[in-house]
Amino acid sequence: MQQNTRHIHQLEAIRFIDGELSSPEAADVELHVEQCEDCSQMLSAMNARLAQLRGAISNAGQPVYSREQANSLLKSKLMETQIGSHKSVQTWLSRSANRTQLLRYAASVAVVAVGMAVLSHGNWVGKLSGIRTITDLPDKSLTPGVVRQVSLTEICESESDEDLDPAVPPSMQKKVFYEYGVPSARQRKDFQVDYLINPQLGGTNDIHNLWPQPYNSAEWNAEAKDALERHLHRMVCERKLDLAEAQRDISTNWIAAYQKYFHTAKPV
Amino acid sequence: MPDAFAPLVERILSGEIDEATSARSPEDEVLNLHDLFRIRLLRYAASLGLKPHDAEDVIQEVFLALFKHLRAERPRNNLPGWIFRVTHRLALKRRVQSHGDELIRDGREHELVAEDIFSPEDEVIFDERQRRLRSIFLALPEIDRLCLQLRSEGLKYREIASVLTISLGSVHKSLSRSLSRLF
Repeated sequence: MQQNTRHIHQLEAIRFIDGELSSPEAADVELHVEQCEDCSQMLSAMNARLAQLRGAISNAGQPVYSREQANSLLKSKLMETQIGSHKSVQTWLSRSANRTQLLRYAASVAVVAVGMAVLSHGNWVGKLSGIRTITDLPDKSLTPGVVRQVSLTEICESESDEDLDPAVPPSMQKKVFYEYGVPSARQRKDFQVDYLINPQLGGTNDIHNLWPQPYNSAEWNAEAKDALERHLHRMVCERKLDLAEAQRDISTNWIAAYQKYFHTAKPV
Repeated sequence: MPDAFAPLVERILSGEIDEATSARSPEDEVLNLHDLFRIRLLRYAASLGLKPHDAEDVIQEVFLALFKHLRAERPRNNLPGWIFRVTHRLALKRRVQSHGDELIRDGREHELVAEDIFSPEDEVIFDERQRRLRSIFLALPEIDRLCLQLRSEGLKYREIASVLTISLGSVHKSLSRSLSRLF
């Protein structure tokens, strides 16, 4: 503004409210507003209009979770993210008791890796060159989840047996363990090969839907996942949840899905 | 939907308080900003047509992304603007996943029809003036609705332009046009 007698136009008023005017320009506006009733009312009206608008449209977007639930969910996810990035380094380092053991293990890994490279075929190769830390969640690059075309009638018609997931053949289990780099000595002792999206929710036995779930997880173990699968299956068959949404939630992060659908931060 | 943190959020959006310079850990910072902005972001995600569960999911993704952003020591100037920008992007992505080709109407691909935002039950709680405002608001093109929504959440014009990836001039025109029709 060059003269403080000139009325403020709307865009200028907006820039003034946003603090976008330079100091001299803002000073001019303030001086003019003190002297001009119309412009002072215009500025007040702008703020009032936004408040009215906010009141008219603010009812959209009702939360599903309480504040505490949402915070708890987020905290769990942040912890998982931190564990995921630290564990791969710290777990490996903590396992290496001394340099000799480290060198021996590295040598054996190299031998096996060369052997696997020779034996590799099809689309699966032992990933032993990249030591993986198996956590309560599958590696998404290996196990994104795979579903088949399925009708609700097909997955909901049988009520007699809650656990209809067929056993994974040993040959397939072996492929999964190789994908994840699980040493033979630990394979069946410490892990079970599980469906990420269980067949009752339309999941298949494709290798990209299978992962080694640790037996030793205190909280997020196979029992918790089974409970989630049963719960989601019930919700889908009662038409309270879309099948696609259930598949997406369980494959994206089954722990977060458990927290979401059971409304709890820890398994019940 | 009451927003108990409204006064504090207004001060952050205006730049009076810079949450980003606090000495908290990234986790504490993220949880704090989540507490402050969650309700507003849910409102915005709903204005883009997301169902409540999808909106909650998207907000969780936004703050997880923020955590990774802060932990990687990426730029932290104007975090509120960053949060709304990422919410916009992820909400649109989720909307496309959820609604697919239902949104292709009148040649405006992926544009949300306004009736999807409010339910009939919402009618009973508004007074006449609010109903009038809301009916005009709903009749606006989506880009105008989003500009107004973001403005009502306290974002500056530059921030709105950044969230919606349109020019500052377009924001000016949109808001001038919309406010003239509303009042």
